[in-house]
Amino acid sequence: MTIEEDKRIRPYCVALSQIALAPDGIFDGNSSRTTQALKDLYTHFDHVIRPDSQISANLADYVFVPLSYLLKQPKLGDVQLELLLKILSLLIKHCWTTPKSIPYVLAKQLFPLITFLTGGSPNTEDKTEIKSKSSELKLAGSIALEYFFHSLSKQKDAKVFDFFSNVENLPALGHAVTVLLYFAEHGQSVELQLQAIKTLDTLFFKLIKDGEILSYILPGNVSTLTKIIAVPALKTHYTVMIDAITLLGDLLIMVYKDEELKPKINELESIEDALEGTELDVITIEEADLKKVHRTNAWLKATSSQVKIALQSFKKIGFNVRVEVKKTLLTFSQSLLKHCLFSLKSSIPIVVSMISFLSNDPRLKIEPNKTLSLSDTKNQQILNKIISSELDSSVNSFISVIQSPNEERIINTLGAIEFSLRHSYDQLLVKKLIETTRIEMADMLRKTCSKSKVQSISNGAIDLMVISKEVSEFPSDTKLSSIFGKIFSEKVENKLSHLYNIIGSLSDPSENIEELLVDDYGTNYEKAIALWISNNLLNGHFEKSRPERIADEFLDFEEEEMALQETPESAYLVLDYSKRILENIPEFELSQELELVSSIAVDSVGIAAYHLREEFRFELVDYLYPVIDSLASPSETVRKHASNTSMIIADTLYRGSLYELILVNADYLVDAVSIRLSNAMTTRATAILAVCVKIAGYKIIETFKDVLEIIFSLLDYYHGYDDLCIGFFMLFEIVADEINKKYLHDYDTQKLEYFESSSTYSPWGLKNLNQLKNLLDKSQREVIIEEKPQETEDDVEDEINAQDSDDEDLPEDVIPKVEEKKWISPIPEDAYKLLQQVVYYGERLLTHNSVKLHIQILRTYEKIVPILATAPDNLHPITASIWPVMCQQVNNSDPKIIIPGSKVLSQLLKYNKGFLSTRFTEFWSILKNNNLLRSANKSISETQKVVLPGLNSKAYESIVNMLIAGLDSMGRYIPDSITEEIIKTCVGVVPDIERFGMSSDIAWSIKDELYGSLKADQKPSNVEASSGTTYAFV
Amino acid sequence: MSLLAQDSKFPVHTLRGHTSSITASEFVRVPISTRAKTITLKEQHNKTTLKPFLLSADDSGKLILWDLTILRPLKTVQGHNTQVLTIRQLGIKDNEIDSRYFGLVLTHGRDHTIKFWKIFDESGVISFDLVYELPVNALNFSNVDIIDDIIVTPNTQNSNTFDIYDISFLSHEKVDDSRLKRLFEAVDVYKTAVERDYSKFEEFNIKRDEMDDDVNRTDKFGIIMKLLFITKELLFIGYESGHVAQIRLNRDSKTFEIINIEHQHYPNPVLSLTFDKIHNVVLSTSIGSNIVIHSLEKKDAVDVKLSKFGKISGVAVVHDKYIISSWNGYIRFYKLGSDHTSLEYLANFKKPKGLLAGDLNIIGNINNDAEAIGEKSTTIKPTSLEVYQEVEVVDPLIKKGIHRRDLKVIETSCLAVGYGDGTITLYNDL
Repeated sequence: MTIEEDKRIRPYCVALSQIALAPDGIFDGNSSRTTQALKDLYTHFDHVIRPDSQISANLADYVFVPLSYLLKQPKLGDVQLELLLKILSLLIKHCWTTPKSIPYVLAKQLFPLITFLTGGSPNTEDKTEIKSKSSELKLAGSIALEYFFHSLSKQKDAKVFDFFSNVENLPALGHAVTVLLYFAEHGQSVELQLQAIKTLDTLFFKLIKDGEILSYILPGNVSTLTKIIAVPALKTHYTVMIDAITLLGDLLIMVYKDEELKPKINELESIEDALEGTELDVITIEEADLKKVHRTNAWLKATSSQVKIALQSFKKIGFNVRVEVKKTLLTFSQSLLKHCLFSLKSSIPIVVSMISFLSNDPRLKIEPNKTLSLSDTKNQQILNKIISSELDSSVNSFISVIQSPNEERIINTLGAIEFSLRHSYDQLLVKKLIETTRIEMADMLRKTCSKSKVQSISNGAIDLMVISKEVSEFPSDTKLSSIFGKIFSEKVENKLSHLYNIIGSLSDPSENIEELLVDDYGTNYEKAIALWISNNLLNGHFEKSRPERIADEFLDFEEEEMALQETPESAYLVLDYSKRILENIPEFELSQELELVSSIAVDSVGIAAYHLREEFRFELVDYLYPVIDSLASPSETVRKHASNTSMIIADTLYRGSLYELILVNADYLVDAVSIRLSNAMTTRATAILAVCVKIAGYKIIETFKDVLEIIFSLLDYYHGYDDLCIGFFMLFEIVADEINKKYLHDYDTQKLEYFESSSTYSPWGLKNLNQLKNLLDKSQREVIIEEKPQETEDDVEDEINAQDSDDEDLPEDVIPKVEEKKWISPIPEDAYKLLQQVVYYGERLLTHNSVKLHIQILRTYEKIVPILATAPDNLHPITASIWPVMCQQVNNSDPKIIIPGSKVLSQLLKYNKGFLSTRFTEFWSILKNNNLLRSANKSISETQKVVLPGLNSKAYESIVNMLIAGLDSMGRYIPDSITEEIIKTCVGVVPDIERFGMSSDIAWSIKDELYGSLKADQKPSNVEASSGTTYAFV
Repeated sequence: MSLLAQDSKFPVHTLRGHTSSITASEFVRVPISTRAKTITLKEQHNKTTLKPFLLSADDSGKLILWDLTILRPLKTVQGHNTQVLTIRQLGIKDNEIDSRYFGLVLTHGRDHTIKFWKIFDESGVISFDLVYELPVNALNFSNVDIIDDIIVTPNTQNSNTFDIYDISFLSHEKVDDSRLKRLFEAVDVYKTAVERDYSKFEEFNIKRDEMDDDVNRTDKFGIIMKLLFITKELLFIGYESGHVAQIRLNRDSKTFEIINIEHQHYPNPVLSLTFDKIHNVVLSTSIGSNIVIHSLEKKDAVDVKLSKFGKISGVAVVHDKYIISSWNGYIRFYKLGSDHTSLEYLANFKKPKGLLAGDLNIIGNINNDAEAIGEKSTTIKPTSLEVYQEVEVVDPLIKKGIHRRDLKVIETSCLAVGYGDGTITLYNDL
């Protein structure tokens, strides 16, 4: 400090002195003048001094003089005291810190004084005095003490004097520590708390640095610091916690340091010893040491158990505490392990469990083997022993813990087990753990799960049909929710699963899996848990080796081969086990038990697929079917797991395309279906075929004709089962769709029209008056015949190839024309025959009384008839065969059947043309007595409206459409009288008479007759359909 | 509920690749490439591990080589332009390899050719190259048979007689058919039998008295129906007349000796000849439901009638079991009785088929008699039978080197039944 600066401070000292020297009566410790004078001095002093500079002893004295006067005044207020302490702090820091700068006498006076000013008088249980002081004062005092201790440590280091070696200072020390601990615990501000701890830290480790001395004040420190640290509900600020933990740690180490106490373990020598002592090993320390006057064996025994109790209360620190605190706790624990392994042996298990608890937080990145490693191998052995016994007790407590409703408790135990296992793997305990998990969880499941069946909304076949429609855009983000939701929270389940992952990664899981997957479990629950544990073990095992394996695949071919050999058999064990489970799952009537076990089994396949990668391709032949089959399970849970697994397989082998997975492996699916179909009745297998067909298209149908034969055979035997038959006809419908897609996608429907007009029954192809004239004119007649409708190339060829049957010179042995006829349909004969077969089976089943089945068959017919129409000559006999039963459908009493029935009949009429005229006429004679038509007619004659309830109106409409289609295609082949009858029935609801085509004139006249000419000409308002549909007549 | 009876034996897989009727098949044993180097080195001191592949053929001449591990075709070749009658692998007999011919397969079609194909090399790499084509007479439906380097076929001109060729030229680097040797030509067993008064063939006389001429116009053996080598010297021949001749060949003197002639099948043609090594018997069948067991030891034969079976279409032998197929669609599993004169029933299988069928040949049939429309026969006929006898892989090192699924194929016996609808069903654990 320069003289300049010196000069700048002195005036304020003088000013302060004047106030301080005032006589008792005049001096006012609380006056603003005093305050101002102190403030001026402090501000300028603080301002002038550079942080690291020293001031002369002279100046120090000069400053201290007014302070010493002030201190003699009895009634200083808090504010003034605060300022005074601040100035004093500056003095200590900048003047009295260097060795020999502070005389012992001064120090001896100052220490109790500062303590008193800050914390009141000692030895009192009454805390009102200390409580009444201002927070700022306490802070200033704490800082002053810190500087003071710092200064004393310098004196000690420089061997000027050792302040606390003098016993007369010890009472003051005790008081100071009490005050500071009080601040640390009860300080109104975080700043004060931190400062108090900091001051204590300076005192203990800079100044005293002696375990023996500290051992005297240890108990109070431990209890107060523990209170600070383990205050429930996060009342303490985390920075305070951190500092308190650090202080406590350092203190414990200082006092209990193994190097100093030199404890040794007295191994038990006899069973008697073991029976007497509660602890197995007794720790003793060498007492014959000057430094260990206080720290005797008795002391150790008494205090170490107190430390243990204190540490136990650390468990109150919740998992949610800030990561910084956790980090400090970790350091704390590690230090104790390192330095107090022997002397605090009774607390070490708590420390270990604390570390394992901390290991639950991934942010700490705790590696058991690093965290719990000691340089001394002997010590390490002892530690390992402690860890093992901790693991043992965790595993033993697991039985009660797993059933506990306390989620945190389960998670902590699981974490502790995981941590200990990662440090020292113990196969025996793992076995025990697995056993416990299996039995306890199965037991819990058995108690919780109801016996009731999983409700399925519809039958499996229909469910899978839905999948087949969505199969290409299957949801890929099928994140699986917990599977044991009934007994655990998702968090617990994840933790448990994680634990088994870790176990799997720690050692080859083959032995455990082999033992788990035995077949003698009583319940499916046990099987489910056994498989679930195996899945997790496997996952963990593969997860560990996976990155290397993948790298190998790219780097070194031979390496990859080696890796391949190392594929654990246990993966196949798990696969095999899951297959056996899935094969025995019934198609319907799924209980919760079976739902669980099949979900897990489906997961197994996914896990194996994920890890076996390319190798799994060989397994598809066996495992694809059960997975796809599970997609049609009545249980939504199973379906979810199945879709997850199928996506894994698709991702692993087919770049995420489920479509491709099924397309490429349709042969395996078909094969599996064929075996199952002949083994047992199943509608799901049929649905899977349908999915295959939808995805793989017609080319796969070609290969599984034998499977279709099995289906036809099943229809022969089991036609009484509606669901089965409906499933088959759904498949047939899809088959028809695919045939249509493959062969008729660019087929001009006009061509079908051509077939119609080629009918020999058409009226000579005449279309207009001119043609008629020409026909009558003999000279033109030849021309007309040549003017047949345009023919496509195919047909011309056909014409050329066909032999003229009228030819008189026909050789005798020529095969009749019919058989020679070239196959003209674009549909291959085989496919045509197949559809024909379907029609014949449908014909028989239409005598069945299931409405649903009728509807499905008619839907299928609707798809098939246009395809069959591509070979009209073949359509006729088929039509002849099904005509009677089709007429029954239209004449049915159920409108749900009439509607599709009429549609199919319309198609037949359209494609067969005049071939059906007689049958149509005959059918009309029956149909006109149909209840529906009669009530419609009655309605017309009474109200000029058709009012029919519900679906009946639609059914009526469909019959009318069919009749019009009949009139349209039959044309003049129906007697006029019948045409009139039919039109009379229809005309009421057909607004546009043009729809009657060539009969429209008749229609017009009838309409005119019925409703008058004006109305007949009018354009009708649209048919209005309300709830009880009404047809308004115009 | 099941379509099949309780005693059914279910196939494990069905191979669907042919679109017309299966006519022949053979399990082809191929050396398997093991994965690790160490094993390959060690392998040289051991017998090569062989994995069976199925080579099947159909009515259209198409050949398919199936990998039984993945159950999919490895190669599909239009081998012949019509029905294939015989497929045989060369260079392997009872798992003993003759490296000169190992890798070759012959296929014999009704297009009058025997084709020799190189289908794999020493290390088991699959190819499908035509090596040589031998024109033969395939007017009759007879098979051809091969043992070591000799092949027996019906004679080029006369279907009643047979020829035997030496095909050792195929083992040469460069195939030179000028080395093709005919060891025996137009061997006529009937002529020799009559000449040497081996038998009076009384059945021919009975026929004249009691049977209609239309049934069997010949009083000779007629054309050859089946050929079967037991050893290089011992040959069985089945004839159109139902006679089964057993003859001993002498290659050096180019002569032969008749050991036995049996006539149980007369007057129906012999349709199959099968050798059962364990019991040292040959089984022959005709269009009837009886099976004739020829004892090689006793040089006689017993006629066993199978009840409720229909007409037998084929016989295969595995272990001590016989697998017999019938034209009515059944595959049945039998065991030879201890007295070698009876058969003990074990299990059966029949491919399901619908009762109704689509039929394009009823054009113009427009009557309403639904029963007449679409009715069809309810059987799918088994048309070929082939058996693979499992081999145990003993060496643990080799075992480890083989893919587990390949290992399973090697160590599991397998029956392949070809059907008229082009499918092949596989049975395991016979």
